[in-house]
Amino acid sequence: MTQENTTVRVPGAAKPPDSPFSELFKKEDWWSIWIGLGLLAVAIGLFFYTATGMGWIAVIPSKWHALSDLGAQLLNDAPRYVALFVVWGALLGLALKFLGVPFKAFIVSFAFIYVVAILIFALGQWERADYYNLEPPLVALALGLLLANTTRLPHALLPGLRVEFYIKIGIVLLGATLPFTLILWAGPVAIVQASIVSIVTFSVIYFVAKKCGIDRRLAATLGAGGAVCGVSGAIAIAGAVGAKKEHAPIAISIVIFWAIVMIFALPLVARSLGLPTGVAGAWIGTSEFADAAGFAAAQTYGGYAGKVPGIEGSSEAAVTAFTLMKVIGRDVWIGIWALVLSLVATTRWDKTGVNGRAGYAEIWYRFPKFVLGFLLASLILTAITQGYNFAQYKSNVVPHLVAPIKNLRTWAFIFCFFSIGLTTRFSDLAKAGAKPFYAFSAGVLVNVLLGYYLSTQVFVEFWVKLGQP
Amino acid sequence: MKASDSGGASTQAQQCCKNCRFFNGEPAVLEASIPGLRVMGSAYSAVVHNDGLCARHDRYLSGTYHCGDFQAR
Repeated sequence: MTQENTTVRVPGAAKPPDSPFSELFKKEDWWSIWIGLGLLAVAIGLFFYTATGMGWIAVIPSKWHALSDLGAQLLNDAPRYVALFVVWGALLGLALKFLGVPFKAFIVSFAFIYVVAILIFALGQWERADYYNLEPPLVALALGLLLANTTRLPHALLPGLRVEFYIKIGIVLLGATLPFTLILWAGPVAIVQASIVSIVTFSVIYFVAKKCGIDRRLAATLGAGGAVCGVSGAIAIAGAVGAKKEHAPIAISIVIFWAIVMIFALPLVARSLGLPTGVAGAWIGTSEFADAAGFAAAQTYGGYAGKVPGIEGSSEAAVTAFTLMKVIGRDVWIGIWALVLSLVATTRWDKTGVNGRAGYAEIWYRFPKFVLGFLLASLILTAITQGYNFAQYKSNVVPHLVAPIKNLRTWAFIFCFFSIGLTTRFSDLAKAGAKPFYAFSAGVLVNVLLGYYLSTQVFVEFWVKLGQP
Repeated sequence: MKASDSGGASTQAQQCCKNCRFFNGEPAVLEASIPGLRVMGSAYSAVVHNDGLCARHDRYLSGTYHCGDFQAR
């Protein structure tokens, strides 16, 4: 007898409600906070109670000249790389087990990603890497795209390809390398610039889509994908407005297409214009569509600092400006967009046979919680380093506390960039059709030009200052 | 069982999509059903909240939606 036959159904009865705390272990946003802040806590503990802090385990390849140098250093550091694999594998595997991914399936896949990440990281440390533009984010992405679109990847690889999870952990760790005062100083400007671009971009996409005769719910889904936070924005608004089943895949396909184009195009154009790193980061933060894609572009551009003649600013400024613009300026407002569009869809748009019940709680439910981890990490590190003067900070805190965290962040980003490439199989994406593509592309055009204007003209002094050491 | 058959605010709240047999909000199912979702997004993300697919209306919607075709799981 099946379960179906033995279950006594009470008409209209709901399944027992989940505990209010169950979300803390069911969403990857929360897990990125637990892992990011957990690593930060260990790093702080080791910083205070050991001579070298977390440096031993947060290993990265050193600069190398000949292959024999690389082989020797990898062999010498092999125990550290194994230990780092155990730490990442255990933390990520535990989190994903709570999300329903079997540990064994994950660890097999992750082992492959980790080994390739070491090779990509090492390639970026080759002394001729700059000459050949072998920036690790672009290499990871290009290699993944090549493999995904020319071969049939084994299914065993899929469980470890968690793009969003890796980038969220990286963002939380990034918070620990940014002074909280910097976030307070730059956050409001980022919010103003990002809000202008978000509202204009959404409006352009929505109204062009409407002119093309596209369903309002698809128009809103496309608009949020272009204006707010890429795939996350599209899927959140599709749910909030009750879109047709095919709407989200259409919007997602177009977002992915333009996000991949912009990963390569924005750093290339910014480089040819010789933009300072802070300015380029702000532009990328305004005009890229997805967090993961934007970090790839911003980190690539930051890598040019001090290597490409004419590009001023620190290497960190590109990622910092991008993060402030994208995460603080755009991502955190997704709940408000969802609430407003849900109310409009329910009360103003054509009836679909289903009705929404959006309330103010929607803002919190859809809030990207990993941002809290980012802010908390920044606050914690700023608080515990209060007592150090500038010289002590440079000589002690940076090498023994900040640098290891930065190394772990870079690992998380490389896992992410390689995963983007491996999951982007163009033939598997939904066919979008010409009209949605044109509507979205109109928004891209406005978004890129307006973002450039605001970053290089209106707020330029601000973003240049961000990049100064 | 139609939603309109029973009254009361709490019953109406219970008869929302997330408790309906036509609704599926399992993240693994969503990622398998929505091409590209896991490329630069995730069904396990907070922004997805309790959204899912409705097989009755062929829509992707929030679990808090409701309609007259509700059937308890």
